[in-house]
Amino acid sequence: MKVNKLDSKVLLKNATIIDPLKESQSKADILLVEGKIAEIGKIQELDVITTVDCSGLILTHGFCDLHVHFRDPGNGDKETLESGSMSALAGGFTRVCTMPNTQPTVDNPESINYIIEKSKPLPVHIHPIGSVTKGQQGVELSEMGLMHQAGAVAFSDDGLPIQNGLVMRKALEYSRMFGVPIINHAEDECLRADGLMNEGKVSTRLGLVGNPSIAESIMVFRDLKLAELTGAKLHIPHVSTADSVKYINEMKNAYDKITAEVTPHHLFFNDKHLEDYNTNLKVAPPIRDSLSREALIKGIKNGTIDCIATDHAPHTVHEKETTFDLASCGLIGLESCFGVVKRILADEEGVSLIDIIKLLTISPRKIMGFDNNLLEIGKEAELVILDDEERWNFQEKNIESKSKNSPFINQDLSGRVKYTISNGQIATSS
Amino acid sequence: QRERMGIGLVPSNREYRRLFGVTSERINRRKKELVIMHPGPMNRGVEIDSQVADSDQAIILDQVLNGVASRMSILYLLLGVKEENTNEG
Repeated sequence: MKVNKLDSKVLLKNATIIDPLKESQSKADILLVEGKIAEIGKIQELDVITTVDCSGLILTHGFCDLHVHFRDPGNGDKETLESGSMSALAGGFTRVCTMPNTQPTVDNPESINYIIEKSKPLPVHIHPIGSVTKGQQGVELSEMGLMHQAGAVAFSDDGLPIQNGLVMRKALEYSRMFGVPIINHAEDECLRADGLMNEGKVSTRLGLVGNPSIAESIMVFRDLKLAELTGAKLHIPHVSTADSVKYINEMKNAYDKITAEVTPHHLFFNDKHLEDYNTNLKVAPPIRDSLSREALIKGIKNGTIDCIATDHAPHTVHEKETTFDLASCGLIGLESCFGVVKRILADEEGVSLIDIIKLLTISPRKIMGFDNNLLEIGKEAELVILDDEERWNFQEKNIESKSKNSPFINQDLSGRVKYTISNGQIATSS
Repeated sequence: QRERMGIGLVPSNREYRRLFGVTSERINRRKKELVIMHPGPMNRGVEIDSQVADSDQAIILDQVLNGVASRMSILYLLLGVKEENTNEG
């Protein structure tokens, strides 16, 4: 992938423009001047430096991932803000929200500032999420007010659950002052115990300690009720069980400040895929059985689940090339996201392309309060150009992240990002 | 106000001051002159700035004095002492 600064005048020619906000589709040209959208329509521009031929390609809002781990500060061997933004661009993402489980934890305004300042020159817009509790210890609330003033867009202890119900309640109540969501990694630590993969027939056969579905759904239920009680915004990350979908669906009828996300890997795999002990499929929450996967797909189709988020979690080789019990949890997902989601939801489940685009654009942006009117004259160009028909085999060379822990290597994907335009730069996939 | 805060609800003194602190700047935003009161004990620089607490608008010392007097009379009444009628023979 090559990333270049946008020339002062760039013409994106003959694209099929899908606007997920206005729900429109049309063939047109877009003229970018100094990185901003200057004109949309049939354009005859003579002194353009660069023309990008978008015939047969889809042009839409750049994708937004509200759940990534860029390991910065502290674990630069796995990923940095720079390498993470390359990974994002390769996947068509122009805006991401980073989780605070770094070293040190992002639990104060100084750390928020560090991320905001460091990401200013980067091509991808990076929004830091602050932690809910100090050091993610789950005991004392962190300085959410000061972090919000510094630019935090949500609060989460992701990676760890907020095990104590009173702390979760206080966190929700406190967060109301700032109008941003609390994102709790719902996995009851006690019920989860030493579980390594989804508890079921496969875990029994493989001899791996099981992590039961109820560990997640029971905490999802608790969080939903607490959100309703406190009147706060709750966003549920990486939903993986059928019961979670059920509870979210029921609560959404009674209370409207609930949103939820699902990952591409939970849509693609089921626990049978772990039969070869592939540590790149060791993730929290674990890959569940096929019935759970079907429930997640149903949840997307009926609107219970609002958006896709990758939970991009880089790990080094030595953390993954080890025995299954010792391997770290997590997998990278930015580069493969669109190809996976398009294959499962569109090709296999009949979801329309515009609905898939919404799951990656207007829905996550709405949850985080970001601008959704991106195809407007005068706006900074935040676009992705993709080939929705291309079938390709995902390889390690397609990965831009510092880490290579992807279970999608050697998988056939459908739909490919060709160009990503963001913050005055254009990434061209090779 | 530390005694009134629940466990861990307020993350830090500096956050409390930034969000809720009664500072001169916040007082002066109001067009009308405000009367400043505080039940005490004060954490100067946290929920209230010294400049505000010691200003002419603050009636905190009178408030505390009156508070002692009010409590004295309430206890006095509760202990069952009847009011003396000076016209009683």
